Amino acid sequence: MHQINDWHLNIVPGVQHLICVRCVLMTWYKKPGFQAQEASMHFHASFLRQLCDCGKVYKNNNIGCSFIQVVMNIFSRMKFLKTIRIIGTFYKSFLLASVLVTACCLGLFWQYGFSIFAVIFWLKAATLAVTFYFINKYKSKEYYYYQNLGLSKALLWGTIIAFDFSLFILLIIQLYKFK
Amino acid sequence: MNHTLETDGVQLEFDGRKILSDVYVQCKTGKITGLLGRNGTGKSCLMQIIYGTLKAEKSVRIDKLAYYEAFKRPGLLLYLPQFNFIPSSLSLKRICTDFEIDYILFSKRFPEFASKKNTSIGNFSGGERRLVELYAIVKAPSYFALLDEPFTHLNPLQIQKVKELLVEEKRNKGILLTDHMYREVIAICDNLYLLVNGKTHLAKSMSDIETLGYARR
Repeated sequence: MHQINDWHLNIVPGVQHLICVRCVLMTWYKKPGFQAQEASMHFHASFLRQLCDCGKVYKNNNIGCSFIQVVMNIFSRMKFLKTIRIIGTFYKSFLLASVLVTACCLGLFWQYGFSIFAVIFWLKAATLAVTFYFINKYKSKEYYYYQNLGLSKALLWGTIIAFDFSLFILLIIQLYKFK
Repeated sequence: MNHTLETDGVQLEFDGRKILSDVYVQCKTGKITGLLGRNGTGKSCLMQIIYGTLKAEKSVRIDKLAYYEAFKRPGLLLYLPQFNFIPSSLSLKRICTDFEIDYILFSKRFPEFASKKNTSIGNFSGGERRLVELYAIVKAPSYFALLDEPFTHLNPLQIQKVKELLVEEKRNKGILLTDHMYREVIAICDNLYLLVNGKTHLAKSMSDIETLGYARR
């Protein structure tokens, strides 16, 4: 059970039918015990401030229209891929700097081992903070492009920092195993 | 279905100076609403407040539902800022894909772009770039479009075409626009607000505009 919030999109303009994006995402990953057909689409009669009990809502409001379900599923999947592509575009604007810093950190780790891990961790964090500062200073106008496509600053930076740091940690672990 | 965007209760001040204090703006689908005002009266700020990127005390409602950060729902509201906002590395094709615009229709309306599908927007002239940005915001699916100085950098022929585009597109959405080329704004808008001393006034005739001290005949 989760709260209806921004995870839910108004998919039909003017009609307050909502698609539960979280559930659709789960169907993509085909989690065990989660039936794709059951979770693919939930129609909610009302708007905000309600609880979304996925199974219950589906059983109570099953409109029985598999064609619409399939179309909406494809629509949502395309939206998700589009979002990833747009975030990728934003990431590309400082990808080179990020890759160079990661490569330097990996080089230092290779040279000095775990004794230097804290240093390279904070080096990576500091360079990300510097990147954040410069993008906000010199490319802040471009945020309107992403906002007009529905992506807030918080979403852009949250996703990129999570991805960049995860990749950094993963590479450190792989390098440590290899060594 | 018609939709209504309403804004009031806006309070904005910078360094103790009140910029906006008594504002009411209503914009409906099927209509173009103009917003005129002298430099520094807060027109752009008001648009950013409606869009949700500038924090202020306010009440922004679409179909009587309140939205604090409307930009998080691009299906409701899109905003054309007064500066170039599309990353210069993106091609025309990519922009059309992102904003769900038909490139063929775009190149039919503006033939100068017919052979530039894969050209980066950074290689366009200022006017061409503005035209692409304006077209993207006006044509992308949403209930409302906020246009801040849409005629800047455009030549007279382009302005004429843009006016035709806006009049055509108002069938699909509500348009709120502000520009210092007030004759162009007056020519196409159905409602006109004047922003004077932080307050909006609904102007009904040219004499109202003169009385409120924005322009002279």
